[in-house]
Amino acid sequence: MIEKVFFLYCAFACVVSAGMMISRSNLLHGVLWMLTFFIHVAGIFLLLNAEFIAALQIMVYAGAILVLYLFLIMLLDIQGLAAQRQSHASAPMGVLLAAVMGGLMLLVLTRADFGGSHGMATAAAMAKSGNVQAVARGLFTTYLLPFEVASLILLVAMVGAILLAKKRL
Amino acid sequence: MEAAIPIHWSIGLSAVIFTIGVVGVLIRRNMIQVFMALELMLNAVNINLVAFSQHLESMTGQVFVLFVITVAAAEAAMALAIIIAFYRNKQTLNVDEFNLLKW
Repeated sequence: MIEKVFFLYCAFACVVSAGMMISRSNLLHGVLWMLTFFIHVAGIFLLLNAEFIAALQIMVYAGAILVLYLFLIMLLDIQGLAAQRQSHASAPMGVLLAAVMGGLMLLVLTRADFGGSHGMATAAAMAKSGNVQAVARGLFTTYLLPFEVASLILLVAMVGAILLAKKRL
Repeated sequence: MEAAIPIHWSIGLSAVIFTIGVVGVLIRRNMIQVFMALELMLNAVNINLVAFSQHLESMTGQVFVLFVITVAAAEAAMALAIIIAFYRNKQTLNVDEFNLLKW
């Protein structure tokens, strides 16, 4: 029961902060709403028995990516940008299209039957060995090659970001 | 043990957040805000993956979330570098002005 109450609180906070995030014209306010969004998403991960992912969400999203956005906003002159008109002329059309898409998704997903659960990582097994160990076992055995490719992606992104942001190419 | 959170709740939340992200991408003109809305969509997908990981009692979903977070971090770094380079050349972040390849 208490889990459901906490989930509903986190879901409500997520939706409100997501809405505020895309509707603020001041970018700095938008980024701070993004912080509350990330933290509540981490709360949802905790409720879904994914402690490691929740910690990662706080460290990578709320720690690294958010600081990157804050850095960018403070680096550029956003006062002049905030004075301009913020949304496209065709914004109502965009909202309508997105609403239709979201309505269809909700219609299908809330009525679907996702079947039963029949895997190895049951809640009892997770409680015995721990979530981090379970994630690591998958990551370093079955998904070892994708893991190495992920490190390569990070390397390429680092080199590319330094190269692109240089004063003279 | 019965799951504490019904899967439909998580999936519904994920769909709502994804829709908010789509609205943000479609209506905002500022490049930074478009990328912030993209982060929303990526987070919605992560919630979906974790929810199914719990529902199907398999760790694959959580391993995939790790890869999604990696790609999101790389995407944010690259996108922000491109934004800085673009702002240096055009003095604007309006996506309507992103037409350098057109002549």
